[in-house]
Amino acid sequence: MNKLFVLFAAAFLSLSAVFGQVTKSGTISAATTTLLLSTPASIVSLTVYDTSGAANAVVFYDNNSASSTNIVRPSYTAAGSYLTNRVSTYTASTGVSVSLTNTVLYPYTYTVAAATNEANRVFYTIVPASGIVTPDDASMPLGVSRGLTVRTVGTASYSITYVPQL
Amino acid sequence: MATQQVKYYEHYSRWKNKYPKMDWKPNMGDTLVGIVPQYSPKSRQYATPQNLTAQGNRNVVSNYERNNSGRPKHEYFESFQFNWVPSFADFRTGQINFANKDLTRQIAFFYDDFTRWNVVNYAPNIYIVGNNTAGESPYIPCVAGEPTAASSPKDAAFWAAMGAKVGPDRAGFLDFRNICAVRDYAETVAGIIPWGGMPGKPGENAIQRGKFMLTAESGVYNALQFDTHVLNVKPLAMNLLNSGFAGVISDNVTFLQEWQGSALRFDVDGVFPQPEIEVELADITYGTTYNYETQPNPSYTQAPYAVAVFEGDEAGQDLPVGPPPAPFNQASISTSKFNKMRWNGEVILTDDVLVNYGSGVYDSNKYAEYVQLISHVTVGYLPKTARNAIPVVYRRLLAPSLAATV
Repeated sequence: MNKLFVLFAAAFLSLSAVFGQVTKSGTISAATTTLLLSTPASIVSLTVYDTSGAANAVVFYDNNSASSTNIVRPSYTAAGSYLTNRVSTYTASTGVSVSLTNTVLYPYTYTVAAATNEANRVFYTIVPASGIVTPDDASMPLGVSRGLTVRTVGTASYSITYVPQL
Repeated sequence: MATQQVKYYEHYSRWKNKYPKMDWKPNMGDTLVGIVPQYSPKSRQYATPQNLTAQGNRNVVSNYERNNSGRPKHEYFESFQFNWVPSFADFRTGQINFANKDLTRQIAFFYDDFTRWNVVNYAPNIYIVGNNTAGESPYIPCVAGEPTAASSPKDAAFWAAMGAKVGPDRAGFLDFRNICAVRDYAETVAGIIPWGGMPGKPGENAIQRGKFMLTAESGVYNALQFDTHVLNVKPLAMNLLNSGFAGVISDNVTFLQEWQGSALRFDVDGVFPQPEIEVELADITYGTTYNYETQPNPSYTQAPYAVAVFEGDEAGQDLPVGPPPAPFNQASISTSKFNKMRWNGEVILTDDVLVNYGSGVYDSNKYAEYVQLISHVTVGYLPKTARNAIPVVYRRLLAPSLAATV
């Protein structure tokens, strides 16, 4: 039976190598941001274990910061429009002054200040005390554009398998 | 050379025949102006006329014209100088032919890049797939205007901000349902009308008439065969094992695939990486000449965001660039007629070059030992109805087959 297990394990590892998959695991400190990946990737499997002994909220972010779950959106120029009355006045051929009022949408641009926002959440769950959570197959793989960070309420550990570069 | 230009220009350009051409001739000035008459707005949703016994209400319908303008631009394309010894008529085999193909390829890319960048920059609205900004719809107004050699209205900060708005994971991908959503916004919010007849693309059977066109990288269309919605409702006859998704998307959206190295992609900083790069191969070098191979640039292929263009009827018009005028394709053409023929973006061979004799000494090419391929390209884009094109920003999937879409 042990030999059979070894065979299966070897087959799994060789398949993983074929598809360029990488498995990574580790621990997550309570209430701190942990950087798991700093490049775009496709997360093929993900498992979170609670080690705090209490229900544990876990959030995975599409981010590549080692210290923050936020991203800075730079200042940019945006556009909008508002309703206004445009009055045109002219003198008709009969000598009568004609005034026309058109209610129009007037476009304008404005500057949107830089803002720090929470990065996109790619997976959120509450792990039961000393329990394990794995996303259902339908929601996998998870794609991240910037990287992968995680933040938990209590201590936890994780195991992820990913394919680098989207 | 002309035959090569016809062949290779058509191969590398995707935007060449998209828009009607402007009838612009030399000496018409440096500004293109177009006039578009406007229907008066529909001003009510119900009508309540007077009884016959009362005096009728009067409807005075006045319509305006709007103008739009664009400025023609120009660019030079040159090859390196080729050494040519007239006494021996000696060229390295295939040297000029290949350089001609290469220059034609670059001109085709340049034309596409110019046209698309104008379409995208003049567009007054943009669609962000899975927009995560609270209170914003995915279809939002944006800054628009003429991109110049100095700056573009939609700058790096703008694209970085748009990228940050794109939804997470598959919610940010341009899948079947999001394509339909863009179409819905285009029809109901933007009031864009479908193509009213276009010359040339995608075929000669007018398949585009009455439809919208989505121009994007191949990954968007390839992903449809793994799209959960498509898989749930596809007809049994659609064989997705031996062929991919085929046909028009949801009745009236046709797909035009960008040339593989030409899709518009940007990184988290809003920078558009160069699509190809020369890789230095270490195995063979000839003296000080390095051995290079042109390959896709990893920064480009791995860029996390891309811009697709969703279009209705005639977003703009442009100047014709590229293949020769119609007489070239006629069954017979006299040599004298052919020699007089000129077209915008024509690659020609010249010996009108300066020769560098070293130590800062330059002299004319009086021994006629050097020749060079050159091309002067004039391009122009007139944003006729700029809002009829909607740039769509989405999160890329490099291999959709490994990440089935929602």
